[in-house]
Amino acid sequence: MTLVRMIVVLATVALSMLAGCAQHLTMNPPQTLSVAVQKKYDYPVGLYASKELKEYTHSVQTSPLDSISYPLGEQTILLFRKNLPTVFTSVVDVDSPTPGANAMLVVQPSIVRFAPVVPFPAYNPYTATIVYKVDVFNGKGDKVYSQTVTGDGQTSKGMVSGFGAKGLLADAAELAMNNAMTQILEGLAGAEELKAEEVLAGTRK
Amino acid sequence: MKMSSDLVVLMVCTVSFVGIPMIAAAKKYPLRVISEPSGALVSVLPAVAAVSAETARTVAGETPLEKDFDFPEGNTIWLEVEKRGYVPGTAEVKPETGSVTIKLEKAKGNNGEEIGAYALPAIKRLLVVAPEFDVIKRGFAGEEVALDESATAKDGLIKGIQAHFAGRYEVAPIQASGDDVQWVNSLWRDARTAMEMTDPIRLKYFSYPPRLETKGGRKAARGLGSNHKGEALLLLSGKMNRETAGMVMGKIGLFAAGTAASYSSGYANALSRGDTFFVYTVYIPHFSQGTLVKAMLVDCWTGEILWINKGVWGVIDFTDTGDVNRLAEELFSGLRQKEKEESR
Repeated sequence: MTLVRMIVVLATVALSMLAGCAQHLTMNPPQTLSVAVQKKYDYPVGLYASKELKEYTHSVQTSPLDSISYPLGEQTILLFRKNLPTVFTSVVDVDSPTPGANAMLVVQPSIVRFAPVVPFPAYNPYTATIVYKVDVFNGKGDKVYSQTVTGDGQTSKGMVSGFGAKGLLADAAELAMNNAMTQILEGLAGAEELKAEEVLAGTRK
Repeated sequence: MKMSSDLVVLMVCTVSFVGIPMIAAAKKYPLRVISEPSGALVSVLPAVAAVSAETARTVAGETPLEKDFDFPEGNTIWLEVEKRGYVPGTAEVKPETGSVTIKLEKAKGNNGEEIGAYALPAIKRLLVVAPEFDVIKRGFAGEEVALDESATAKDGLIKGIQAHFAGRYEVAPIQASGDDVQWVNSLWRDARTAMEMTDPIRLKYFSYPPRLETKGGRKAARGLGSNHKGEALLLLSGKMNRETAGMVMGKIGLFAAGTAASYSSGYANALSRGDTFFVYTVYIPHFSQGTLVKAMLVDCWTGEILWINKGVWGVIDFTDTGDVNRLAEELFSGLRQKEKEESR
């Protein structure tokens, strides 16, 4: 009887401990996206990641005992670092929204909303929607361009989805982020406000 | 009946693990909400005064309004009152408040001009931008976008729109090709976010008319309007998840097997216990199929977002006129209502 009681208590304690744990979702390193840009801007930009973005995570409860944490801020910074050179000659990390000597403009991304769907039953589609806001600042620290984009992603592996659910959650999020990033690059590439002469005019103090 | 000591330990442990849910009971109290001027949208805000566009609200109705509101036990609630052309007003109300009057101040534009009431522009020619629509075939081992079916769906949507607006507007489809590609892409970048972020119900009550966010998006709307001689742009996006026959059969097989296993184990247990009845579970398959469509109307000249709606339907046969017309009828019902109001 005592043994049974001990097992029950230990099992309960173990479950309680498990319930408090959030599993960290591992995301793939971002890839360079294929975006057709007619002409790169011939100046360097700074990438400013706020403290809020650096620490941004999104947790979802996947069962009464589990939750999964998406490292979205970290992944977003890597994604921008990897892809902004498609539009600008070079990208440097900066620690302020006002450009220093090594950048003409500063690009500041932020996450407005992230909405993943963790399906139940597990073979239903895994979807994610991310909304990014990108602000671009000139030499005076004035905001010269702003764009909010929405990216969607959906994936599943049919009836066997439940066996690789964590991978599918990451895949859906990455698809949404890549979709949004592609739109950001297209938007930046086509923005009149970022043409060199406009930028130079804004940089003169 | 005496409970075994093990059961007591289990229950105590379970309660300590799960926790006792502390649910504050909400009580309903009648409240009359009046705004000056009337015709404003009343929303209930979370229990904080600081609100932003992202704050979740519960829409209560249009002023003058009299209804029972849910009040958390012993707490106040915050109301927000919005009307186009006026600065939003907020009020803190308590269960005993009974009636509240909120005076709204006129909102001013950047140059000090007054903001007009919500209205649709005079539309003769409606430009329908090539829809963004994917049909996703979900099979037993994965899923993929069915390009042919997606093209059929887009074609069906355009035809449905033409049929729906026939006799009211001249409908002109715009393809994302040739000189229009850049403009259409630019327009879509702003439109996707507006469709995601803008509350369709609150839209006509916003203080200021919402517009396409970027200069590029607004320029694209003007350019398309000018080139195609239209006053408004209609954008549609969405997707349809459709399960393949293999997926459906696989699920039925899986669930039939589950039911059979449950039946046989129940039957075997009943036999071993000498029972004359037993319980088994019938597993019902879930089909994750359906259609999501979002639509948005934009003023070509100002870039103002005039109307937004979104809805979910079952699987649509886009070659069936009846199916598509029903979707269009439901999707555009709010727009039709607005047109009727303005034609009075």
